[in-house]
Parts: sequence; C-alpha cells; structure tokens
Amino acid sequence: MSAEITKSIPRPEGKEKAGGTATYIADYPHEQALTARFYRAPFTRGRMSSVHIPELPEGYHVVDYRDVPGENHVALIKTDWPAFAETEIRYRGQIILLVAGPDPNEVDRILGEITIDYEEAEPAVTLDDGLACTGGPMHGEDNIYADFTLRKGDAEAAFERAQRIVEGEYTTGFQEQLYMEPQGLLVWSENEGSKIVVHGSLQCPYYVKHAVEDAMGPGIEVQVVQATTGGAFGGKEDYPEIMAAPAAVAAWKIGRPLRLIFDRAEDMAWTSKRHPSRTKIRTAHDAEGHIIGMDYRILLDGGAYESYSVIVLQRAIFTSNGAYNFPNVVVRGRAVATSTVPSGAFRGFGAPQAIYAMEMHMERVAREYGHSPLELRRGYFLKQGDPTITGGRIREGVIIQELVTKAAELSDFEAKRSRYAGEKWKGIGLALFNHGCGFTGDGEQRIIKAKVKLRKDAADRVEILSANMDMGQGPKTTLRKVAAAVLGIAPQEIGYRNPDTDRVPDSGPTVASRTMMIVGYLVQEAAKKLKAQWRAGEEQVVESNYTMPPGMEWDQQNLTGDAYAAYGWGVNIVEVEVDPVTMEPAVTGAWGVYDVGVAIDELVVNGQIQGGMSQALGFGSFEKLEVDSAGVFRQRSMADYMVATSLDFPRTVATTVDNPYDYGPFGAKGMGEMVHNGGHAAYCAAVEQAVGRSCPHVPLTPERLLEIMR
Amino acid sequence: MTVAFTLNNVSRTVETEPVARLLDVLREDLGHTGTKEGCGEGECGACSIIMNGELTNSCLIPMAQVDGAEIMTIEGLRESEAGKLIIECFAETHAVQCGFCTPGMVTAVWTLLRANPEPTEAEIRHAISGNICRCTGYDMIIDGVQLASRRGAERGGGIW
Repeated sequence: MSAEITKSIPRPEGKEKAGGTATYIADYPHEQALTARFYRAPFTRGRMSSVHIPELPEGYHVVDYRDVPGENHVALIKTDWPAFAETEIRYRGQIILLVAGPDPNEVDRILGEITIDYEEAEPAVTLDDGLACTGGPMHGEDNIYADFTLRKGDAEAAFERAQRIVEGEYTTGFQEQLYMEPQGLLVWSENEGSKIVVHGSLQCPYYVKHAVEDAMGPGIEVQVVQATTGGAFGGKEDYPEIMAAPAAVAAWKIGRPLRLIFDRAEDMAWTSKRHPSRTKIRTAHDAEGHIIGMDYRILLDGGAYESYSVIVLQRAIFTSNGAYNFPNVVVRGRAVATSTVPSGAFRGFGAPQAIYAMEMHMERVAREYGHSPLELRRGYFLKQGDPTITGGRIREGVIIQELVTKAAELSDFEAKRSRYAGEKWKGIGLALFNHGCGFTGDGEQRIIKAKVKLRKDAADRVEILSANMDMGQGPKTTLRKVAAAVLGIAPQEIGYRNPDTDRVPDSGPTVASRTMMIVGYLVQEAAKKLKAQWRAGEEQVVESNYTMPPGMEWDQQNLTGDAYAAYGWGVNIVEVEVDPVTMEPAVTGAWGVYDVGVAIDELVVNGQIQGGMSQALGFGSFEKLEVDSAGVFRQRSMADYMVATSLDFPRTVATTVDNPYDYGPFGAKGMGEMVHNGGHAAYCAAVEQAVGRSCPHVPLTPERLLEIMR
Repeated sequence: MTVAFTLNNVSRTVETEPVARLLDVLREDLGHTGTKEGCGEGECGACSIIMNGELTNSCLIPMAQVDGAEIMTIEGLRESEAGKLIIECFAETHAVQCGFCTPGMVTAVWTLLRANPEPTEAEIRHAISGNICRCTGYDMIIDGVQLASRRGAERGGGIW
C-alpha cells in the first residue's frame, strides 16, 4: 500500500447517505403514480387455460401479455423468459399480470380475487429432479442449459497411472443477496407514448434499456436512470429487467406513472439467488502423493429460466482450478433447469461455488496424506507464464506466495494449526483463490465495447460520464480519484452523477469486477486526453474506448485462450472454536490478504474485504435458504434467513500487497467479487480441524454439524 | 384519529388510522424519507427512530401509540451537533457503503453516545446489533463510532 493514490479520502456521498438526504427509489415523490403489483403464478408448473379478473373499479388496471407492443420476453442473454406468462408456468411466483391503481389496499384486494384455471405438471425441484427430467423436460430435451468441458493435458492417462485417487463431493446452497433496499422502479411514458422513462434501484442501466426496448418494440425511445441504490451484490443485475419489461408495458398502456416497489417478503420470495452447486472432484496422485491429474465436475442449479446460468457456469469452470497449476485436468460443468425461481447473479458469479469445492478438496488431500494444508498448496501455485485451464497463459506476475506468507504471519497460522491439532474444538483454516477481472475472454471487446466520456464545462468543472454506478462498492470515491489524480484537481471537485442513459455513454454494466480495472482505465485514459487538450474556460468533451490488452487471445466457440486479461488474488484465514454441546462454531479470527494490483482507496478496498468476508462467513455458516416440494423458499423473512449482525463475527484483518497491472488505472485490478470467494471455505477448513471430520457442505449449520458428528 | 406528538422538537398533528405505521406516516404523510423501510417486521433496524428517548423500529409502531410521544428522526438528528459529528465520522471512516442502513445506524449510535460517550467495542457492537448492515461487515461502522467518541471527548464531551 505504498502508492499515493491508495491514501483514503472521505466518501464523497457519505454524508448525504448518512444524513438521510440521498434519494433512493422509494423516496421519490409519487403523488401522481399508481401502485403497481404483480399477480404471480399460484402453482409451480403447468399450463394456464383462462384467467378470471374481478370487475375493476374506475382507475384500476390489469395488464397482461396481450398488451405487449414489442416482444413478450425479457432480453437477458437469451430471450426464453417471458415478460408476462402466456400459458406455460415454470415456477411458483412467475409473473402473469400486473395490477395497478391509486390505493395499494384496493390493488391487493383485486389481486386476491383474481383466479386462474390451470393444469398442473410435476415440478422438478432439486438438481436430481432436473437431471432426471421429472415431469418431462422443461428446457430442450434434457434440462441442460449448458454443458462445457475443458481439458488441459491428458487427465485419463494420469488417472491410469495414478497410485492413489482422492475423491470428494462438495455442495453449496442457495444464498440470498439481501441488499438492505428491496427492489424498486418508477416507470412512466412521455411524449404521447413515444418514450418510456425508468428510474430504479439497478446496477446496469443499459441492460434495463435493452430489455425495455425489446418489450416496447421499435419506435419507442427508452431512458433509464439509476436511483441511489441501497446494495445489490449482483441481485440488481438481472432482476430490474424482469420487473422493468412488464412495468414499462403497463405504464405505456395505462398512461400513468407506475410505482413498483417490493416489500421484503416479495423480494425474498421471488427474486434471483445464488446458484446452488454440487461438485465432484477426483485427484490422481503418484507414489509420492503429488497431484498428477484432476477430474472436476460441477453442477449448478439454474432454476426455471436460463437467465445468466450459462455465464455463471463459465465463470465457475474457468475459476475451478483456483490459484493452482495442476497438470492433466478435465473440467466438466453443467447448468440444470429446475422448477425454482431462476438463479441469477450474486457477487462472485459461480466462483464462490467453484473455489469452495477446490479448496475443500485440497483440505481433504492434505488430511489423506498428513500434509500441512499450507505446504501442500505451495507446491501448486500458479506463476507468470503458466498455462490456464482454457489453454491461455497467466500474463501477470503472480505474488500468491507473498500473500500466503503475509496472511500466515498476520494470523500466526502455522503455530496455531499445530497447537490446535492437540486442542479439540479449535481450528484454523485457509482458502486461496483468484478471480478474473472483467468479462470473459473477448467479451469486453466483442459485446460490451465500453465507452467513457469526460466533460468539462466553461467554468472548468469536470464531470465523469459513465454508465457505472455506486451500489456501495465505492466508484463515486475511486473513479473520481482516478480522474482527479490525472488532472491535478481535488476528487470532490469532479462531478459524477447517478447514470442516466440519456446523458452517459454505454460503459457497460456494473458487474464482473470490471468497474475499476476496465472502466477506471478508460477514465484514466480520458483524463489524460483532457489534460493534454485542456483549454481553460471552454466546454470540452473527450471520449475513450475499450481495446483489448495486446497479445490477449480468445476463441469463444471453443472457450480457449485467455479467459481473463488479469486476475485479483486473495488468501483468507479463519479461526474458530466450536461449542462441544451446541456444535455452534464461533469465529474467533478472520484475515484477508489480497493482490488488487494497486488499491485506489485503502478504505474502499478494506471495506470490500471486510464486507465480503462477512457475507462469505454467513454463506458458510448460517445463511440457510431451502426450497419446499413446490420449489418455494422456506425462509420468507429476515427473521428466518439470518445474515450477520454486529455480534456474529470479529473484525477482519484486511490488507493488500501492491502488484501494479499495466492496463489498470494507476495499476489497479478488480476486487469487489473475490472477497466472497474464500471465506466460507476457510471457515469449513477451520471447523474440520476443530471437529476432526470432513465438512463438505455450506451452509454448515450447527444442525448439520451435529449430523456429521453423530 | 387525530394524533398529536412532537417530531424533532416541533409539535405536529396528523389525521390517520390508529393502526397506520409510524414509518408510513413519517415517510408518506410528513415527507421524512430519511427513515428507510428494510424489512417491515422489526428485524433490520433501517427504520430506527427515537421515541421518548428509546431507540425504536418505526415499522412496528401503530400511530395510536404515538399520541403525546416525542419522536426524533434522522431529519432532526442531522441538524444537531452530535448528529453532524457522527455523520462526518461515518463518511471519513467509510462506515457508509450503500447507505440504506445508515440513517438508522446513525440513530442507534446517537442514542448510544448520548448514554455512553466512550463505549467499548463490545458496547458498540451490542448497541448496533439491531441494525443490519449487509455491506461493511460492521468493522468500519465501529471505527466511525470510535472516531466520533474520540472527537466528542476532544470537544469536552458536552456535545452528547
């Protein structure tokens, strides 16, 4: 943390948020708006034949698929998810109608009186049901959204000559983003229906714009404006589109502004969650115990529509080997259709599932051979120039050895690990990981084509024009610092409003650990241009456009080449003490040491490390989210679904080691997601030492631990 | 019913249903949108206000109970020296990320520091344990409270 830019500044938007003057979507004035709510499928799977609507009082409206002027779908990666269900229902809670009117209680009464006639089919609730095509396939012929295989070396030959094979199965559950602000939109039409305006709590203004454009059809202009967003963690990447497409249709048909704000129960029940996973890993070992091959098979539960499952699966398999260079690997990943709420984006995007399996397997191998978990791992660390699982190369200098050494020193890992071998109920565990920054392969160049503008007005005030938004992760601090450092002005003097697609170019979505490394670099480039062309007292606009770093290659057809231009790297260590009576593990220490290139703001970065650790520890321990036989989540409120309070976990010791990246601003790489990649694995590794048993499932609740101990 | 109470030291009278939630009256009838709704069932603390000196979830309070009460919200706290100090320290220590829990968190911290100007970390953790923050892991919120406590003491402690 030597760079000058790393020195932290107060959060520029901190006071307005803390003082309650920042405007979140529910805070917008809404006297003119009608309350909008969805009528959702009351059964899990089957076909509707008719819908019965009660007589509507004056001023109340019902909107359905027949009102869609464009395409009745939500344009995500595919277009399989209808904006309004027509006849087929694939999950309980699927959107069928939108009801709107002035009095929310009256809207609820109408919703309660709507009935439908339908024929039910047998749902496929679990991963195994999905694989078995229970009730017949719902997607294609086999319920498989995607099935990818990656090969490096010759795994089959390695297994043939193996002296020993170690195998294990590792599972992770659903996880709820639980952003503190529920989803919400305010939508209206303007200019006699020729323009739709959407304001909302959302991560990706241009994604929402494209989804609404598809639903509205040609000739209707769409403007999307981000309201101050109270947390997202991926949960506001895909879901605002699911709401906006039907809401835009309804606002256009009714001709009144619509206010669509979920309460917590609706948000928890029907918005996307993290994909559950089941991974089987086999490693082939030679006579000395070295890993000479690996067979890694991961299944992701995608839910009822494809949404982002294919790219979550890609992120999972590309991250599957974690920080290691094993020879002779085969990785197979499949995303499976089931009758639950479609799974979606959540911080890490497949990597927390993949890393969990890899790291728990390393623990298993260490146990089987009686090795130190740290020393075992050291033998396989990736280094610069090493081949990746996709046949590319690690292009950057890798400092994972330094990160591990630092984390071990800070936590006194080796001494505690030895001591706890003789002290039952205490344990310390570690997890290592990396996380590719930005979109996969050539996605930034082929799909996103990010642009950033800087505008200077006649009073020489500079404004960042970017579609990237602050959901709490800090770009209002860090992107300002990047521009300010180049231009030699104070960060607080740089303008940076919430994005509005009528004002800002498409710099891509605020996802995939890309905002700092990709967009921040464009801000830096634009600032350099502006500085070079600076004419005092004149209005000027400069633009920068993304280009791939030189030498990077990617074949999207075969998924081969450099999956990512650069990676963030991290080490998590977690210490626990298990209560021998209740089997409740108490976390007594947590450490996170990271390579983020260069931290643009020490407190922004440490805040991500600490907050990510808290979410990952919750994922590992008590964030239990299960479905019943109808595919409905059993945990329906914040009383049922636990997230960390201030009493649950100790402070996370957070630090970074500089490793500047040539194509990141001031050397910065991405880091907002990887802070959720390893905490749950380190936690389970610590509990495994404490109880002396294998604990290959998260969440590892006390009940589950009691079962393991029986 | 007619409900008369003081809101941030100003007398107010509202016509409302006895079962209307204080949170909705504050936000919808009185335009005090600094108080947020996170869960609507008293679990998250985003709607924290101070009622008769006690930290209270306004989503659980029917207006019938508010008659004659003294209510303080973030709109009032942010005008006080103590509130300004907490807000400034929160921005400085990055106790604020998405900010949705923060007005409620500031309200909880204001209540704590009034009663206990130099709390231990354990006392801070206890005082904010009813306020959920999903972003920070609480570390920097605790830093913010400790900074406000130190600065308050430097100013002679009378600020609370």
